[in-house]
Amino acid sequence: MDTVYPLTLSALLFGIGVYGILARKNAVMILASVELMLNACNINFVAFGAAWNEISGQVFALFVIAVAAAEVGIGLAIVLLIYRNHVNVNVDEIDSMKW
Amino acid sequence: MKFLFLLPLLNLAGFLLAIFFGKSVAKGKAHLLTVPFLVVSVLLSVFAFGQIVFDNGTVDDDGRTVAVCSVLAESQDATAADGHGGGHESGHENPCEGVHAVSAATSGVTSGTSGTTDAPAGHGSDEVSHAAAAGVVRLASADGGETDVAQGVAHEELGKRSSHGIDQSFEWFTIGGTTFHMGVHVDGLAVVLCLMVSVIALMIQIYSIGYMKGEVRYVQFMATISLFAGGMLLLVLASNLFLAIFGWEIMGLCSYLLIGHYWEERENQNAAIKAFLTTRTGDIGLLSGSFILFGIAGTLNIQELNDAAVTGTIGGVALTTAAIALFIGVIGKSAQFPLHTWLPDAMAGPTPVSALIHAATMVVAGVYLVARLYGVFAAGVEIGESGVNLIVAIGCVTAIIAAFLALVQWDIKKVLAYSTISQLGYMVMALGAGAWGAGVFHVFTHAFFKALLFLGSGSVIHGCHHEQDMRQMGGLRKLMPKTFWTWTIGTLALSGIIPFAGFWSKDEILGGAYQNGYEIFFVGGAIVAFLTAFYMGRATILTFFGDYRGHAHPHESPSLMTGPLLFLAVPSALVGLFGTPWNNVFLEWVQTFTVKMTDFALFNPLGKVAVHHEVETITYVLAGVSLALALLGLGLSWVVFQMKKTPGDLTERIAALRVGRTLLENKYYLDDLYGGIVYTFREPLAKAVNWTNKHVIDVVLDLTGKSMIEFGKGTYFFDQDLLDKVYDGSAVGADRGGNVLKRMQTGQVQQYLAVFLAASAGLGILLLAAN
Repeated sequence: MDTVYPLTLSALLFGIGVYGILARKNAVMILASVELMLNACNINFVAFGAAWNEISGQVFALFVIAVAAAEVGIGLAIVLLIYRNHVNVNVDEIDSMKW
Repeated sequence: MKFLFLLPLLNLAGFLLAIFFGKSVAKGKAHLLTVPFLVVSVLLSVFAFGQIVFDNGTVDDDGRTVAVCSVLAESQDATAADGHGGGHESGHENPCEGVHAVSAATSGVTSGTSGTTDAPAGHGSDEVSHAAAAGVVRLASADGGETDVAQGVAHEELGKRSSHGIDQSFEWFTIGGTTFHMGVHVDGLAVVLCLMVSVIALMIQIYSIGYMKGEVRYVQFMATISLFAGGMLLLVLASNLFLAIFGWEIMGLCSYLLIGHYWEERENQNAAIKAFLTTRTGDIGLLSGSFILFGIAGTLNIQELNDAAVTGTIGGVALTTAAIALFIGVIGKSAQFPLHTWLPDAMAGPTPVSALIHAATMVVAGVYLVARLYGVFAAGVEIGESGVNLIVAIGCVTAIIAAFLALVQWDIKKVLAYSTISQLGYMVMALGAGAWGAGVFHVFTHAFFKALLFLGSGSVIHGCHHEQDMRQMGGLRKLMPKTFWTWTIGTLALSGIIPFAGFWSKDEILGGAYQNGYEIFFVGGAIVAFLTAFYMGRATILTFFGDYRGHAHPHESPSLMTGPLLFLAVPSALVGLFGTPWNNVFLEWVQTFTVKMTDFALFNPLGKVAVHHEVETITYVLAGVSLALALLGLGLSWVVFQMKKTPGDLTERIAALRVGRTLLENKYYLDDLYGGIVYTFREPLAKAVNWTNKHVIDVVLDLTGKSMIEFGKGTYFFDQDLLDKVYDGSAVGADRGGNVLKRMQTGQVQQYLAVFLAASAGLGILLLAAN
């Protein structure tokens, strides 16, 4: 199988993720977009691993999945806390890190 | 003998221990910290003395001194290396010889060692080979391999100069290309003096335990006495003038501290300051003399200086100036006329201190310096060349005026003080007259009986509850028998009654003065001998005979005090027997390992003088004369003061006597003279100083101040208007910049991310474009 197909899929997924992060205002949706980007990376790892016959590509993908699980856990916890404090999760209105 | 260098260190250790721990560790028992060190010192000295007496000091057939030279490894390496080959030619692999040769080399020419290769240096290497070739190595002594006995045969022209003693030293510091050594030189003279100093210091410390019991500052007293003895031992052992001055000044300091021991009284403070300042006046001379010697000889090593002076390497006006300058130091320290006025005032200190100052240390230091640097003095003031020189004249004048002064004193300690000055004059006179051995012998004997007399007077004062006036004493013979008998022995020794110690040394001095052509000073000495006996008789009679005139209840002192008295009475009576005219072993002791000092005196750099010094009938005649005078003096004092044969108002009725008495009671008005000089110059001096202050120093100071203010103003402007602007500006700029830049931080994470992505994309495009 030509490596270009999974790479194209990965690039598309990544682009969708970036768009989601930049465009969506809902914090939960941003987290979901981050997941998309991470999984795009996973597809890249596995694709290259298969192309060069390297097992480490798949191993790395497993690590990324584990890290993504942890990240999304913490991310959702933060979003939950933001919701408790601000009663909404619109990232435009959450600018407490402003100067 | 190799361990003698420990003596000053031991006493220093005693001092440090006592001063730091005396109060905390041994309350009221500070002597436990100092006395053991002195005991060890005495043992070491006795041991070294034993070596002098039994192992060496034998004189071989030619009358040349057989000497030991024990050599330290370092001095072997250092000096034998550039031994000019002379030492090695004879083929012996004996370290002694190499050093012997080198010492001859350094003695021959000092300039040779400093590396110059001109004419005198060449002359020196001649001498080296000469001396080394003649040097015969003798077989080892009881000390084993390290010490060897070498027969020192010196340059013929120089007479019987023999090998040197033990030299131990290490490099101290180097300044201006000259290396100073800290080291000791041990020879017969040093050993004998060490023995004397440590024994007397020990006795005085033991005595002080009783005398100073319960007194204020007991700890400091004990500590300082220890340091005092240490300073003297340092001076005695020092191998160079620089270190000797150290010991000299330590003693100056200690005398100041001890004379002013009871500083609560103004009088005692003044006495301490007077003693310090007067001796310091002399010290200026000592220092200048040392500088001159260093300048002309390039070394401060005492042996090298002596040799250089005797061989004529240094000489002329410079050497004479140096000798006179050094002698001024001696005048100050040894209380010679005209700087003797501090010594009677020094009686303000506790009596053991007086004993220490007068007998074994301090004042002896000056005499010792003359004896030690005898070559320099002999060549410098030309001892033995004419019938008079500075040293003998000063000595004789001192001896006579002090003896007269002692006649009119009522304070028992003052009598002894003037007596000390007088006897010091004797010693100096002997040295000045070329009777080196006699001078040193008198130092030795005098130390014992003067320490005995002072401690005896302390015992009397203690017994009479701090009464020092002899008019308030009398009849103490029965109340204080031990003190009386020991005092009597001391008096007989001081007066020069056969066979007590003073007789032999005094007789030797008189004989030496007569034989060496100083007849006038022989007469002076004889007068002093008579006066000495007279005033000592007077003091004894006033104190111990008749009826008690005071109001206290005299009692015998505790055994801690009488013990040292009894101990000191033995040498006071007997040490003279070592120096009898027919068998003068003392002279052999002090000359062991050392250059023969008697020959120094009689040896003249110009080769003019030749004086015989064999025992002659004249010696016995002179001895008889001095003995007769002494007996006459004692007898006369008995007649005058005990039997009261003469009318008591004799001095009132005869005008000449009255004038004399007034003169004496005012101490020749010397104190007034010195005071007058100060008073005369005080007013104009003060005015001049005031004027200088106002018109010179103040103006300078004023100008300095004003210019400083201007400078300050300039600096202030620079600071405020320039520097601060820069700093302020940078701060303001940072503030403004921050205000602008902070707007970038919107808190909108999506904006950050957008920028981040844009930048990433830009970089990626750049990367692609670059490829």
